[in-house]
Amino acid sequence: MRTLKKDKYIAAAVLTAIIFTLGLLMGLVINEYKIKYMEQLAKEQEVEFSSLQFQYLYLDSLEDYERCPVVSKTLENNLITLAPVLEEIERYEREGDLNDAAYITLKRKYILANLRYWLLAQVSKESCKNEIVTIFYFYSQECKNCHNQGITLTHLKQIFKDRLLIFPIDSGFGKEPMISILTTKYNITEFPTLVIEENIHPGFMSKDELLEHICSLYTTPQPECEGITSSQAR
Amino acid sequence: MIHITDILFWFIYAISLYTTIFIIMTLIEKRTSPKKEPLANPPKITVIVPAHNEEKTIKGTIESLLNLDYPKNLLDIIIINDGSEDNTKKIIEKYKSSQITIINQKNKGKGNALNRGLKLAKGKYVACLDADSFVEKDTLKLMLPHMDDPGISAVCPLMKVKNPKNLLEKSQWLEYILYAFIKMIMAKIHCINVTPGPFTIYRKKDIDSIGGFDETSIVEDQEIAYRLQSKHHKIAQSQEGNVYTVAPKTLKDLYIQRKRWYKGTIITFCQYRHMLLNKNYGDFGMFQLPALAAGMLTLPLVVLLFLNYTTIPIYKKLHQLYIINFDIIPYLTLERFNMHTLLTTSWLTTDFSKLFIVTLLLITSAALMIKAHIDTREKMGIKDITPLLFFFIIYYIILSFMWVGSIIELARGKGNKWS
Repeated sequence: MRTLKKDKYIAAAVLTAIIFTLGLLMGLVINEYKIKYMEQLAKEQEVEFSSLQFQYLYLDSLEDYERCPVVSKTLENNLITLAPVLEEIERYEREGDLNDAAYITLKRKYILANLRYWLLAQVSKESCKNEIVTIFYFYSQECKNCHNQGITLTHLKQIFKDRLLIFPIDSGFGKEPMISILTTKYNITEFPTLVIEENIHPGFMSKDELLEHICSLYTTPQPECEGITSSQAR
Repeated sequence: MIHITDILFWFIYAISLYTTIFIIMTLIEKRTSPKKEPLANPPKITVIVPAHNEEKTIKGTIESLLNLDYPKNLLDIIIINDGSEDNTKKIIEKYKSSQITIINQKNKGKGNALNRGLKLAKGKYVACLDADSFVEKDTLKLMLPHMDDPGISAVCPLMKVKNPKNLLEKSQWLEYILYAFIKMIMAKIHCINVTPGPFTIYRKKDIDSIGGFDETSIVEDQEIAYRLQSKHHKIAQSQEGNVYTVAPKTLKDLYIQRKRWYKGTIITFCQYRHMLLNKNYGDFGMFQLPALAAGMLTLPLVVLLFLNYTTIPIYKKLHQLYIINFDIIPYLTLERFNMHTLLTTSWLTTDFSKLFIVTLLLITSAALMIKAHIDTREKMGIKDITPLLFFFIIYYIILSFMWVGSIIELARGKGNKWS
């Protein structure tokens, strides 16, 4: 028989618990900051959106087409900052760091901002005759091929940069009425579905198919489309 | 949503944290160290050297024993040639003398060889020395004072790696230092679970009373420690007596050694499972064995996590490349490097709770490593940074893989014999 110092076991357990709690608390506090930062980001983004819209309307009313490229450029720059925002919002959702209400609000704001961008892009194209192709990408969280479609779209975005604007729409997100309006308008029944310049393409589109299609939509020859446009020229 | 890897992570953290805290608490406890004055009446000692195909090292082993600073008439050496097929027999025959007894037998295993030596031993104390290990001049003198406490049945040496050269040997050198240091701490609460083959000294009457070495065990030095613990015999850890052993130089040799150790660990653990969480066995039952069990479970998890963090991203990347027909040209342009974006995203994606505990564990490990070097009197310099990093980052992952390999072999019932 041997003696056992029970106190030590308990003390070690208490210390472990304290350190653990400290770690968790620190994580929670920093997460709070993260969320605040995200919200701040969203607010700044909103101001940015309204500013842009106003800028554009103002420039448009002046019919000063010389300034079109500047506007398009600003549009693109803001799209670049918008993409990581979505990634972050979705990461928070996955990890449950953000409560539902906060998440929904953030995501709605993001969706609306995106749609406003889309409207701006349409106007910009008409008035400025920009070489921009816009794609609505309808996806759902459960869909099998959406991940692959996402990869192809990211790849094409990498190729065409500011000449290709992609607007991802999470169709399963029912909290924003605009989404159901869009899915009804384009009669979306399966995922992924791509709406490329008002042409509806249900089902997964491979990189080559997409490239061919996008290339056919530019009015002037694009260096990335060399050797691809031929089949579309029929 | 909580991910399965997160649960595994927190589980590993909790166990590691508790174990580390317990060890540190034991470290700062007061201890009664043995007197350091020279022995007034040196006792008679018998050293048993079992040898099976040890032609490369046995000469040095015997020479180191003959070189011990101890009265010749009080030091007997018994060398058991356990059916060596190389030149071991030839080499040892040269040393035959009144002090050195040579026994040749058919290969019957290390446990059997040790028991044979034990029967012939006349000393009050018996030391075993693997034929690939070497003692220092004063090792014996430094270790013996522990035996002044009649409750102590065995004293473990301070085991170190002989002349570590390559990265793998250096990692083992660091591992042995850390392990020796942990053993010094665990000895304070009588929790030693291995009495290593290289120069553990046993009190002969105690080892006789528990029936000598287990000849069926593949890790007789672990089995006997458990048996001593199960009979409430105490095991001490020397802080001064150095023993140097040859460490495997290649991954293959290391794997052969570890497979035997790890399989043996599981077998012995199962053999003595009645001691697990049994208050009658004190800290050994309540801390050492549960910590060992947790370690046994954690190592496969380390393998899983490692695979999770390496293969899955690689697979994803390959899949991504496959989807875009491996068209990587658009990615070859130089992107504008944006420090601000990089900092923002890394800040947003870091899990600070995990980071906190990982950092804490790393700092503690580093501190323990430094303390281990001081206590074992091993020097660590700037040039040891590479082995240190290798040790902390890669070596443990290698060991984890070997551990999993050993479990699989054991489950398939392969090679549970000494080899």
